[in-house]
Amino acid sequence: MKWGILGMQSKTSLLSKAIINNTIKRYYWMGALYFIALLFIVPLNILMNLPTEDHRYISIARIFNFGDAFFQTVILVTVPVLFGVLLFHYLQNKNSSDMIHSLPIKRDKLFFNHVTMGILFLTLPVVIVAIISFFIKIMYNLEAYYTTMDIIRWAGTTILINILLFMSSVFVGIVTGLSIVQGILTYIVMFLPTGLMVLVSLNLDGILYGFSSDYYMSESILKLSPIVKVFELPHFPLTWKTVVGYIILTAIMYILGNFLYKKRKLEKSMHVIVFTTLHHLFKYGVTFCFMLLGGLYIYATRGGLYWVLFGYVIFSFLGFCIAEGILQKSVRIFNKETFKYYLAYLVTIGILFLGISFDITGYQGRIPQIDEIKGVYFENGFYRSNSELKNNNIYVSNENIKLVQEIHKMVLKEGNKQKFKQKSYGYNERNISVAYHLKNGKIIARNYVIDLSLYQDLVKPLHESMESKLMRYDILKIDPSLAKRITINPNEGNYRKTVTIAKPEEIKEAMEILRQEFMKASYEELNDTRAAWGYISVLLEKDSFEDMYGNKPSEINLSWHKSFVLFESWLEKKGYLENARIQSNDIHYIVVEKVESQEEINKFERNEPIGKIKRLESYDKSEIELTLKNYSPYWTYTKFPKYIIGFYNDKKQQMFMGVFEEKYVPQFVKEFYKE
Amino acid sequence: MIEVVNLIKEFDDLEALKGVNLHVNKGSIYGLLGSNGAGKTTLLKTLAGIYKDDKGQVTIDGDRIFENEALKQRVIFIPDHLFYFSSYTIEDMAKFYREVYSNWNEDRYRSLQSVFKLDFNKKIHKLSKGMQRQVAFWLSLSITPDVMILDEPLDGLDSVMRQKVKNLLIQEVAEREMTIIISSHNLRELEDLCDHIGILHKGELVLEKELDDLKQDIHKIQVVFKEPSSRDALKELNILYQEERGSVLLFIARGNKEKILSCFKKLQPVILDILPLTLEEIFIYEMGDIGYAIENIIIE
Repeated sequence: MKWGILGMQSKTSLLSKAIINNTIKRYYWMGALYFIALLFIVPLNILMNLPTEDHRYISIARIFNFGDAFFQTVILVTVPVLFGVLLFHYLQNKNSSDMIHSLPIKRDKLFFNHVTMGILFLTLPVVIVAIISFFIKIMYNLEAYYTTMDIIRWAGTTILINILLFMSSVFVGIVTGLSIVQGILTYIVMFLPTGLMVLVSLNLDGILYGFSSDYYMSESILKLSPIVKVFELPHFPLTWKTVVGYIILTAIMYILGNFLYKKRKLEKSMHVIVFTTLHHLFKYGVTFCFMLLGGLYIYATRGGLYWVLFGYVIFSFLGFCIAEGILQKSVRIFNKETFKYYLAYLVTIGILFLGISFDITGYQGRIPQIDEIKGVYFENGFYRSNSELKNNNIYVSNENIKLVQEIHKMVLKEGNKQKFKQKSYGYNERNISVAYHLKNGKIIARNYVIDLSLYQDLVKPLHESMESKLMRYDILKIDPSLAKRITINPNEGNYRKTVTIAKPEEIKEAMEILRQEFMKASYEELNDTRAAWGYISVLLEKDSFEDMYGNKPSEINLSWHKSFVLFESWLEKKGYLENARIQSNDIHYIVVEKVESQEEINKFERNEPIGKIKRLESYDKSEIELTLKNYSPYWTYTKFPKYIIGFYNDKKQQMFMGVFEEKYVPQFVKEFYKE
Repeated sequence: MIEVVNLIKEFDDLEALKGVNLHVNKGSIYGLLGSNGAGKTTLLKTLAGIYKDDKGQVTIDGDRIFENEALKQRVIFIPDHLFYFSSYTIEDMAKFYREVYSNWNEDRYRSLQSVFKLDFNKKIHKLSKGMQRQVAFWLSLSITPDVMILDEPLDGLDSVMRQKVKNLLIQEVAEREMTIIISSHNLRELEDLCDHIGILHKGELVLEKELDDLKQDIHKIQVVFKEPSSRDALKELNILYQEERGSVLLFIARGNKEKILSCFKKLQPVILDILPLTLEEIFIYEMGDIGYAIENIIIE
């Protein structure tokens, strides 16, 4: 690392024996405490968890994975910052600062020696603990639980994070003149990249029609912050790219910190921000963050455009006053000068805001031309867009790309008036997310809330295309010969009905029929809101299939839709049908009640009598069969009047409930309630 | 030796030093007088290389002091607020200085113990304010510096110790031609120590004088005349101040003593006395209007 080389090159001039000895004498206990903490977290933890005869499963590997104890992570994000604060405390105290800087030691030397000592205090304990862990592994023969590579990776990660956070703390320490501020500001600075991006994108959600914060958040914005990264270490170890990035960042902070240290005016210790030129940055930064936070709050509480604007003004002013108060360390900040600075801010933001509103960059109306597009992602949400183009959840066929463009155009035409507060569409409200992957490598991503029912003409052909079905239904993707077993469970599962198909030739037939069913099914059939007959799981050969999320599931699941008559008759032929779904014979009788209002529903759900005499009770098997075929799950949205169905067994116990959607109400029910 | 040219120092919107010019000779003890807030500490800290001389120049032996390791080896600064590392003993602190300063004199350090009579292994923080100040002198003198910059150094010392320290400083100046610049808000404290005095007032050096010159040059004359006569003869004298107390007239005049006396004798006075002036009076009359303004502050 940077200072390592520097140190070696000019040992005689840069190392100060006095500073080093003095730092050791004053702060060795910090290093010792850190060492003891690590001792408990790693080697002692291993010894306490040694595998025994009856306790074979142990979590030793997780120790080196940062996944074992929360304590380890907490120490990782606090100790280096603390070291930075302590070792540079001399800067923040007038008397010690005067004393140290009157000594015949140059500032870059002071900086180098204190940084070196901090790194030493943070690194030496880790190295010793790593060595101890290595010997424990050999002594107790724990190779199966953790490898030398695990130890090295753990030590490397810990040291790197330690040095990065320590250097951040030191850097902030040079800029500020108070130890407390140094500590607080360090964390703020480390969260800033993430926090600011999140705030900006969430605010743009409200201002910019079609902007999707979801998209950007899933694009690893969160992990910009080293602190967030540390908490994710158990799941996402550092990549080499990150490691190199952190090393460069650390070096930059060293060089910049050293440069600023030499510029630092010692007469300004005890100031919150030592460099006057940074005052504005701090002030406007805080103002901006407060504005975004306030706007977000009002937007989230569903305030309209004018409320959001009002929130921006009020909160930015609040933030401005707080920042000003902190800088001047006084509550008496109101004078002409202050207001002038705030006014300048308002004007700048106002211009920016107008620019966004008038869409001068053409962001909101942008739909790329068909010949620019390599592929397009279209879903209700960006949850499947984590991939690059390699994954097959992106439409590449011309017809489908055109369809998506058409939908997009229609959204822009229909919805352009609803910035700030999007209209609520109730039951048909859908989120649609579009991401065009352009040939030049760029991605244009948009998200809208629309009334899906208006778009049926365009959505139907899209979803009925083979391309779309292949994305949606795993069964169409897998090689049927990989299926090991098929299990069918009825929709209302708790009646001990289940079918298992294990004969290879039957599995083959079933798979073939299911594939056909999915291939020929229409958009309406696949989006049937009626309760499915049952759920089918197909157990696969281990690791034979990778889904669109990059997981390797051991089984895939699909719905047995009501329209799958081929499959139904195949089951019947094989004698599986009886146990594969609820039969009319399983039901003793049904009751259908017509409910007119929410009030009645409430009563109904509290088991109070609604007070109506008229209710349909049927013991007729064909009527029960019809009901079973047409009912929807109880929670399905339906308008009033609502038909609520209860299914009862011969002990008059309710088995389950359902509702009829308007278009599926059977003739006999209609007739009964007609009179 | 020490040369300050047109030094300006600004704190936020406040100008602490407004173009100070100052000159200290080698082997001289320079007293810097000024009220609180006059800019003494700022000036001294800039001289010690703690603050940067961003406007103007501060040099010692022709070299800029700021960030100058070699030069700072020879300069020691004792601030008005002392700082010691927490829980350090005198010996610990000596060890630190020993490693920092190449011209540390171990013999001197050992021998000075008989002057201060403090235990090497005493924790400095447990000592009284005055004792801590003695430690500062003890350690500083052990470094055998060429220049000592002392900010209100005698505060908190009892009169015996005060005299001892003064003697040590004078001895050091006499033996090694050490240069001292020492600040105080009290003239009397510096009177018997300094050979030069500078007065800092509101960020400006309003006066810089050699003490011996000063005393020879200014006189207080008490006269009684027989009858009110023409005093034209006195017009050729540089009279700074005059006062009548009944028939007794009091003059403060600058110039050669003999010349002044002969001038008065021409008027045939009944009584003519030349009285000694205290240093305080000299300053007040020397400085005219400003003198009266700061009289209450630097002269108790």
